[in-house]
Amino acid sequence: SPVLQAFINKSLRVTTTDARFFIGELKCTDRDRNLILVNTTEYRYPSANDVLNAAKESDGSSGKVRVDMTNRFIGLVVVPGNVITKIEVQESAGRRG
Amino acid sequence: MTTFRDVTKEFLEASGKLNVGQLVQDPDFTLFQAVGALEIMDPKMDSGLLEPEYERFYAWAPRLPEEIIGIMDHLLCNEMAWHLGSALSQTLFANLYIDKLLSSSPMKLEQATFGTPPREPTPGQEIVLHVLQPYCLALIKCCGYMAKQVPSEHIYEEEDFVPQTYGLPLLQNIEHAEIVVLLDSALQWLVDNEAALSKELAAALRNRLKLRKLLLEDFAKDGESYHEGATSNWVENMLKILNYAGASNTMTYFMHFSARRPTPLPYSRSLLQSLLMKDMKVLGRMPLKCILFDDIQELAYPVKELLDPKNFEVEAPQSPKYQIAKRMDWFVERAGRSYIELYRNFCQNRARLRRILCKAVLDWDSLQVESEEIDSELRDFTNEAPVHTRDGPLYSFSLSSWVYHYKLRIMELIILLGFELDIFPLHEFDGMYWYLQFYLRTRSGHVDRMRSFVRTPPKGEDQEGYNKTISMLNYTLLEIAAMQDLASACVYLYCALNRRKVLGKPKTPYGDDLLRYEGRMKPFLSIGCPEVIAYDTFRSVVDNEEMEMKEILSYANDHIAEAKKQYQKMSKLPASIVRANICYDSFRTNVNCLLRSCVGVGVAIGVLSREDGPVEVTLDHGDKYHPAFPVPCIKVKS
Repeated sequence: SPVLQAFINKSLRVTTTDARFFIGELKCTDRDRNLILVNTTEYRYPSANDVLNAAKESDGSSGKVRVDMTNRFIGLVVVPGNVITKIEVQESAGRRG
Repeated sequence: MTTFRDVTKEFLEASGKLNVGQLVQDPDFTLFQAVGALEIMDPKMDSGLLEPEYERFYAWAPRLPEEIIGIMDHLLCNEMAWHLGSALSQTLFANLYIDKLLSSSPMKLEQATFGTPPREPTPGQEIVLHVLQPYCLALIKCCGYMAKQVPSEHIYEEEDFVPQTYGLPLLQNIEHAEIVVLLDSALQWLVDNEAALSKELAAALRNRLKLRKLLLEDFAKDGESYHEGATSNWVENMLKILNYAGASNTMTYFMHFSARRPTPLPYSRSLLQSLLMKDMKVLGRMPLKCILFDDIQELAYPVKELLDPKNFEVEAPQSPKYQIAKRMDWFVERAGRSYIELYRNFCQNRARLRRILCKAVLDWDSLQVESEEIDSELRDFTNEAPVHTRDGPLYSFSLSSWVYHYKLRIMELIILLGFELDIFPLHEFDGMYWYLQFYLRTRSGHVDRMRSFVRTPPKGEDQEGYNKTISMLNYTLLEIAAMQDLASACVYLYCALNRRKVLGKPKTPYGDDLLRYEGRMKPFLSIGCPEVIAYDTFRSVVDNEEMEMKEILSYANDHIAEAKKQYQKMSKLPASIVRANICYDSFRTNVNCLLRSCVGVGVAIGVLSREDGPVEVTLDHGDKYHPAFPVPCIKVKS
């Protein structure tokens, strides 16, 4: 399939049912949308604890708290199609077509 | 700045058009590479799933004494699982307490804690602080020693042991004494808080702390410490080799160590190698030359000019002593390497040992050829007087004879291991036992030859050495004869079973018997002597087609009776005769297993002689039998 072949070796951002997402290069896929990604980084939303701790440390003036997503390098993964909620392909802004 | 474009719908549509099993992939990405991928959402592989729990872990949560005991026991199980070959990531490092201590990569003792302890700890927290934390630190220190020892010697990574520590330090920079202080304080805390704990709980905690202290003491010692005279709580048996009792006794120890059931752990096998050889010194005290010459002297008893230490002091090149020394130096370098390697090989697991020996035998074969040349050259300098026979003058060829003897032993061992490791199918037993007795028979003839060259020393000289060699050769002949009879009995027994068509030879449409024979004998095909015999000849000597069933079973009976007699004789010999000074118990156990195998085989022969009708065979690999001689249980088919 040329549509899918075009995604091979591209960086994809894949979101799973537990709201994590994974950014890696696509190496292989199939009918069930199982994706094999290399050089993958996993991104997690901060836990309630992290938000609580960040709130404790902030000065409270703006009523808002900023907490970064945690990320870690996990390398070679396969994401089963049935846990994927969203697939996005990375496109750098300003790159000529 | 990177942006992402949502292609979910596109992807869904395009993938739906694929066939089941059809892949879209990078052509350079192979299945082999894919196998290592972590599967997301699989609880065993996806650690991201577990994260919240581990982040929320509060190490100072109060614990009951029973819980502390449970945690300590769980940790010990994890530690042993690692010793047995599982990875740290799946054992100790998956433990939240250990993780708490190590995840900050502590380089100093103050940095390795469960966190800032509570200012006013409750009793449930005190026990964590004063008992569990010291215990965990001591455990990690033990692991640090283990992680240093095992990879320092020949151990096959990933096969027996996973040394990977994932970049986490194991308190290597922290002094052993500091950890001992912690354990002692923990023990003291138990004493001070006796009233709060029941007798059993206090004893249970105390025993675990004491055990950990003893383990720490032992792990802190390495080959060097033992060479300097340290004693051990657990490895005293191994330390016996340091009381050097001669090369043959040492070799016997290593062979028995290797054959232990269950196989010794990677730590023991690595430590034994450290004890054997460190910094070019064997057993912490002698150069390789010493143990090598000791072995050659005892087995081959060469003319005294050959191993004379004075040869090495001579500097004049025209002196024959100098010429002898030059060649002996070559031999020490060349054969010494293979010889010490043999000891190391016995420190590998049995399957790996067999694989290594299949390669080693080729090395010993070429060593034999090279040594024969050196033997011929040496004759000119030692002025060896030949033994005169009908076929002309014969020379001892001491060095190559010694090499040949070891080569034959290795070939026999390869076959014995083949039986032990379940490599041969039942219908091949007759042929493989035939080769075993063939190599034994060859070695027997060779030992006879060697014995004929052992010259009585002149009166008053070296009577002890001479007696030692004669006793060694005589014992070797007995040992060979016993196994030869046992193997021969098996040849006839399995030949008979083959004739009764009960060994289930499978159909082999993809190869013929000749091809399989060459495959089976592959390790030995390039050996010049003894040669692998031609397939047709092999089949005729194994199948004995001219012989009647009655005759075959009768020969089997005779051989097994002889084998039994000889093993019974062997079991009564003293340790010094059987060269098992430091492993006599293992020797006795081994002979008893062989005797039981003899009995079992004898029974099988008896059943087969009595029952003419259809029978079925099951192989009994029980521990009471020798691993290379499992016993066929023959039952009448109902």
